[in-house]
Amino acid sequence: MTAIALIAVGLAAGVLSAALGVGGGIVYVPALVALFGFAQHEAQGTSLAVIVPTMVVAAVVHARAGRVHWPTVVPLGIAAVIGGFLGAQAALALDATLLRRLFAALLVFASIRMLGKTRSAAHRSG
Amino acid sequence: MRRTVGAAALGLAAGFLGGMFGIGGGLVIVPGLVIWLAMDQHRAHGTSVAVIVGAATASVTPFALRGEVDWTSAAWILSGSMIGAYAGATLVSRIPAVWLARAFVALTIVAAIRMAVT
Repeated sequence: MTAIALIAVGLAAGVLSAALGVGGGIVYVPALVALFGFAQHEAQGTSLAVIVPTMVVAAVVHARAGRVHWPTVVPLGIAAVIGGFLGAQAALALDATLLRRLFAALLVFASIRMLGKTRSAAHRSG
Repeated sequence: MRRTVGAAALGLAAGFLGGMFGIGGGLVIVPGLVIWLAMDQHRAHGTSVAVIVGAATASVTPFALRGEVDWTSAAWILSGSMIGAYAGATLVSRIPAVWLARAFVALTIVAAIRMAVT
C-alpha cells in the first residue's frame, strides 16, 4: 500500500518537475514528511536520491528537443555542483525544525517573485 | 564574460539552496535564468534540468554518506517519477510559456502551505 502511494507521488511530481524545470523536491519533501512520517533530513536526502535519475531522463528529452542552452550550462553547472555540496553540508548541520521553517519561508518568497514575473510576462505575450 | 560570471553566481546560489533544502535548485535556477539572464521560459526549463543533474548528484552524496537516504522509498517514488518526467518533458512544448509560469507559481504556493502546516 505504501509502495503504491509512493509511486503515485512520484508520478505526479515527475510530470510537474519535467514540465516546469524544477527538481520535484518541493513535492517529495513535504509529501514524505506529512504523509509518510519521514524526519526532515531523511526526506531531503531521499528527495535528492529520486531527483538525480529523474533529471537525467528529463535532461535527455529536453536536450533532444534543443531546449538546453549548453554555453550557460557549463558555468552554471560547475558552480551549482560546488554550491550543491556546500548546501547539503549546511542542511546536515542544521536542526530539523529550523530547516523545515526555512523551507516554507523560501517557498513563500519564491511564489511572490514568480507571481510578479507571470503578470509582466502575460502583458508582453498578450 | 559578464554573462558567464552571472551564470556562475546563480549556479552557486541555486546549488546551495537546492542542496540545503533537498529540492535540486530549479526553483531558483528557472526564475534566475528568465529574470536575470533574459532566457525564454522553455529554454530556461531545459537548461535548469541539465544543471540539476550535476547539482543534485553533488548534494545527495553527503546525505547518503550520513545514512539520510531511504533507498527503498526512493526506488518506489522513482518508478513513478521516471514515467512522469518523460511524459512531462514531452508535453512541455505544447504548453504556452505563460501557463507554464502560472503553473510554477501555483506549485510553489501549494508547497509553501504544506510546509508551514506540517
